[in-house]
Amino acid sequence: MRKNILILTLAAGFMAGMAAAQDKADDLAIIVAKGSTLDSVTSPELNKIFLEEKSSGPDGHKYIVTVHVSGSPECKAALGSIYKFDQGEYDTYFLRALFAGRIHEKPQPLNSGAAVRQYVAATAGAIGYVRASEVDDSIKVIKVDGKSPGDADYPLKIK
Amino acid sequence: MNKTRTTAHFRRTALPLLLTALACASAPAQTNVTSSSNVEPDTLKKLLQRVDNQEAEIQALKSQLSHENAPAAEPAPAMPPPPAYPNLQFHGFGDIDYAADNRKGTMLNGVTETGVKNSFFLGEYDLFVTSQLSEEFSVLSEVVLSGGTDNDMSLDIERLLLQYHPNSYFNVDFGRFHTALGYYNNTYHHGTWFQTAVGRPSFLQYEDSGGILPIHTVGLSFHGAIPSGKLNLSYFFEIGNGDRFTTVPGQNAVQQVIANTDTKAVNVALIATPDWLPGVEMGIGTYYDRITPEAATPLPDFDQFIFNAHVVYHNANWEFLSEGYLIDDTAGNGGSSHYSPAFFAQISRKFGLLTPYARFTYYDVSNHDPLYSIVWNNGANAGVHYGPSLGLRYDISTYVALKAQYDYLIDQKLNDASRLTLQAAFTF
Repeated sequence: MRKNILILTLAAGFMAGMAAAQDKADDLAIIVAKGSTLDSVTSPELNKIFLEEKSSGPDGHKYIVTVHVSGSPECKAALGSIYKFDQGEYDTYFLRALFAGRIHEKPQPLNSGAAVRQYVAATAGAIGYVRASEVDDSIKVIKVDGKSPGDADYPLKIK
Repeated sequence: MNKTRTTAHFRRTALPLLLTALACASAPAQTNVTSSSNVEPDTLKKLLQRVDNQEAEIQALKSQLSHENAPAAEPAPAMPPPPAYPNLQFHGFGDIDYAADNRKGTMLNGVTETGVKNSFFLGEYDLFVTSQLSEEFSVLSEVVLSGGTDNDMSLDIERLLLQYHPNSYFNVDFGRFHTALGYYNNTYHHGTWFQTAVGRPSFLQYEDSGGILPIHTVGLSFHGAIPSGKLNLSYFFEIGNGDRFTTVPGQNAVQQVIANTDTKAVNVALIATPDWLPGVEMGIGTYYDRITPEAATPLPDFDQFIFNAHVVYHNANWEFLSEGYLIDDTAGNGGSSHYSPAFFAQISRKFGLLTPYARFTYYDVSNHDPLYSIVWNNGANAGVHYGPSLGLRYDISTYVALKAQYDYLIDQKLNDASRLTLQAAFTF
């Protein structure tokens, strides 16, 4: 009986580990260049940065927002969890911002996580998002609401 | 194709391993249950070691799968080109309308109003160009073709700005711009496609279309964020020519070439978008101008203050707009002050592609204020004007909206009237 309990406990722990690994892989990591002094943001700050309402970071660099092509799972996740928009609202928002003179072009979409990672790594002020499983040493992951990808309650998920 | 291959790969490699792992994990359990109820320390150690090894193996496989699943077949990442200047962007906006009302040739208190005679009409044809000239400099222009009551089309430069935007906190726009008065004027410009309703609230109409406010300024606008934590304050400080109050025919109220005085109008506004009230924007502002009216009967100079405040709320479905103004005109020779209040409130709710909306507009221009009862628009705005509007917007495609709006118009010097406006608004 004790052995059964032990096995069940080990199996439960094993499954929980699997689930945590799965969660991390499905998180959207916010990335900046390694030299950036930006370490963490709140969800509202992240929203303002990606809406280009906040134009420069703590190190004085202008933010260059980098996004994924529309229709990709990462783009859909960002629309839902960062922008709180659907695709039509996103397009209208940036057209309106352009019309108001606040911005001069929409964020340029890139076609893969590797492209976003590479661009952010090479560009001062660039900020973007990739799957947590695509993070490597070339870039820095910043915390959102004090949480890192893989943490419980990390707010940016790919569904 | 890639997904099918990955699934097959998973079936071939990961599934057998997972099944083996579970079988290995359960086999000793079954054996031990039948043989003994006591756990030997060695057995326990081996079991734990075995589970650890299997977990590591499965994790490695998962990681391999995750990389294969990631849309990172990534042959050659497409990097954006380095910025090239000037970076020109062009957009167009337009609307085609139909309107009818029952205020046809009615006359009350000596004022004639012809009304809208059951007409199809072209709205504004708005050519919008913006171009980034360098990392910090850009130019924005909005040229509008629109028709008048004489059926002739005229061309107006509605906005022309050289912009210097070095950071979030200090930005400068130089040229002709929309004065940062309240919310509506600073948010909606000449493209009706952006607006939920068919047009602007009556008192916020353009200077040459029956409005009462200095919608445009030619001069300088300084604006940016104020470090204020979760309050998210921003400011506008503007200085420009102000409007020309004249009864001389053919004179444009917006002094875009020659000002009739040396004094300049000044506008300040403070806006908050607190983090703790998502979707809410609140603002206050004050505009000042020293006005030298040009009328057949000489009038003194006036000090004009326009105080304003707004509260708006947006979320994915709801939009609530409200703003109020108080115009205070005081003759500069120690004369009396004249106050003219104005406000509107608008609410709308999106139901998929349909957005029903309602608006109430009110303004009361003092009949004793010579600037508005004699000079501005030849006195047509003096008195009380108010009424409700009900409408429906249908976003038939992403860049085309059809709108229908009913207005009930109550104007002190005119008969009450109903007006129906249909509009197709688009952007390209």
